[in-house]
Amino acid sequence: MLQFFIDEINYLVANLTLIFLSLDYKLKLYSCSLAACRRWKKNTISLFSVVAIMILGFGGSSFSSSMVVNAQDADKNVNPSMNKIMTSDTLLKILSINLVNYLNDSASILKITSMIPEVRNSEHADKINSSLHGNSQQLRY
Amino acid sequence: MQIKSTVVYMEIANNCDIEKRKIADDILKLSDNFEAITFLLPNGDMYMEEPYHRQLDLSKNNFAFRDYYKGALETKAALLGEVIISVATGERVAVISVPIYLEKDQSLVGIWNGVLNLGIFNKMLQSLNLSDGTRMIYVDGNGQKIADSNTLLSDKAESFVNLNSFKYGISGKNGNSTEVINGTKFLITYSPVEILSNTWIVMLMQPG
Repeated sequence: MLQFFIDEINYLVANLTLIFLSLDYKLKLYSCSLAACRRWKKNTISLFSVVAIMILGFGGSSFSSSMVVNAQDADKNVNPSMNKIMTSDTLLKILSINLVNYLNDSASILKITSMIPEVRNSEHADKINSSLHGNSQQLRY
Repeated sequence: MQIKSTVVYMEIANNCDIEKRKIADDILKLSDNFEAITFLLPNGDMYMEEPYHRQLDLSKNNFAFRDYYKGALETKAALLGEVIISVATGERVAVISVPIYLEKDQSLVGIWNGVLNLGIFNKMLQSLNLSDGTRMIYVDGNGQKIADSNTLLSDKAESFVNLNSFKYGISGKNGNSTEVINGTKFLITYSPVEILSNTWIVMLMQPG
């Protein structure tokens, strides 16, 4: 649970960092004065320091490991819990399809063979007496 | 003087209706889907079963009480029955039944049944090599286990009818839920499989 919380925080922090970087870039392009830009840069550096402290505070090692896991995922921005559920869903879908195909194949075998005249014809049906019990019991009159 | 002779069987003998027995044998030889093939008469009486030794082991000879018999007559189509205890082997089995009707007047000739080889389902699931504590199971519409990825538990009859995952699954929903089984917390992912007028549930149980 704690790991999940840390992962979520790290994910938010990473996104915030990207937003600040993007703002910094835009400011460079559109700033009117060098002084304003310098002030912004100074503020950005201060903000990065705060972010760095937050990362260390919430466990830098878990941040890096989380990023490695996410980088290895085919899907973007997937935390481990979500990844576990998505993998389970995929496995279940594959097995469900496999099961349906298997049972349909089995039913097809029976349906096709049920059309053979030898199967449809029960020439000895009148000789069956369900009141009898015992294996292969035969009564002769 | 003419001697009147009549032979009455509980089911037909091994040397009767050889053609039908041969077809049943061929199905069993060519496909491992089934462990036995049977033919029931319209009233539910057993006409024949292959392999023949299973017919000899039957403790009953009328199967009109089985859900696959009743269901096949109701739906007039191929039907997958629930997991039952075989009266021939005493083991858990599931049956697919196909009713046969005469073309001319649509009267019932009999019911052609395949007894599914549940061992195949166990092998399928056990080949997944899931991590320790994780189980993949198939459950029938009554909550009875059909197959299990856990080799130690696959022969054990288990009911999952009280699990919310089963209740959601049988109502047609896919999803995940956290449940406690025998004191252990599991994340259960479930998915219903609707097939041949029946619903089976596929469940993945992960500890944690």
